[in-house]
Amino acid sequence: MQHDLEIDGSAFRLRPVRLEDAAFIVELRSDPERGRYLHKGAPDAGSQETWLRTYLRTPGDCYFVIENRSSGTREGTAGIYNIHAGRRDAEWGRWILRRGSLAALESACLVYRAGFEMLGLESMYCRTIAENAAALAFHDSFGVERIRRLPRYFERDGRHLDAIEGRLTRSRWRALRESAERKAARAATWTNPALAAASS
Amino acid sequence: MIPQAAADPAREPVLRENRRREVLRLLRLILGRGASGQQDGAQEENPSRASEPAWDSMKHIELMFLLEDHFGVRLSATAMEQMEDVDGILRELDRNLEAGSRL
Repeated sequence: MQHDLEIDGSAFRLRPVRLEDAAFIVELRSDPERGRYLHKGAPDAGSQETWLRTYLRTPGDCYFVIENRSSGTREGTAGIYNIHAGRRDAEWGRWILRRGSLAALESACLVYRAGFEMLGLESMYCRTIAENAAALAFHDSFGVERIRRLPRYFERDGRHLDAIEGRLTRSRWRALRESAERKAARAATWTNPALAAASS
Repeated sequence: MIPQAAADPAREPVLRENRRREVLRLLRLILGRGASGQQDGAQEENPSRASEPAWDSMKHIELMFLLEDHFGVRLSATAMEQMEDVDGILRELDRNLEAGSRL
C-alpha cells in the first residue's frame, strides 16, 4: 500500500519503496545466493514495476527499501504485510540484503520499531524456509520465539518446503530492544566511521 | 614505531599460531560451543560462515565486537567483507595489527 513510514537507525533507514526501485529489486533478488530461498520474482524491471503498482493498491502491506543513511546506497528490502487490524499482528519478510551488507541487525531492529511503534502491532511473525539455516539462526539469536512448523508451506522450483514460524511480541521486543540497538549502534561505526568519532 | 609482530621475525609464526587459537576460541564462544571436547585450534580446519549455519549475521557482529576488544583493533566495513572464515579473519587481523591501527 502507499505508505509514508520512514524510520532512521544509526547507519541505515527504512523508507517506502518507490516505483524507481524496481530495477534494484530485480537485481537484488536475482543474486543466486541472496535470492535462493525467495519466490521467483519479476524477471525484469518492467514486470517488477507492474508488481509494485499492484502492491501500492494492496491494503495492509508496507514494503520498504533499506538505505545507507550517509551514502544513500540501497542495501536491501524488507516488508511488513498481512497486517491484521483485529489481532494487531503482521508478518514480516521480503528481507533481502545486498551481498556484504552490514545492515542485517539494524534493519531487523527498524522493522520491529516500525511494526510495534509506528503501526501499533502487538506481535510480529516471520515464516522462514526450514532449510534456510542462516536465517533461522539469525532469528534465534535475535530472540524470536519459534512457534510452529508449517509443513509444505512454501513451494520453490516445484519443491514443497516446510516453514518455521517465529514470533516476537511487543513485550518481548521491549525486553530485547536496548541490547539489540546497542549492538546495531556499535556496528554502525563500521559502515560510517564518523559515528565512532562523534561518540568518542 | 616498529609493530610488535615485526620486532622479532623468528617469533612471528608463534604469534600467528597463538592468534589463530584465540580466534577459534572466540568463535567457539560465540557459537555457544564449550572448549572441552573440541579439537585443538591448530588442528582444526577453516570454519567459515558457509560451513557453520550457526554463524549467522548476529553472531558475526558479536564476533567482530569480540575481535575488536580482544585484539585492540578497529575493523572496517571493507575488512569485514573479507572476514567470512577464520583464515580471512586472521589475514585481516594480521594486516590491521601490522599497520598498527590499534584502538
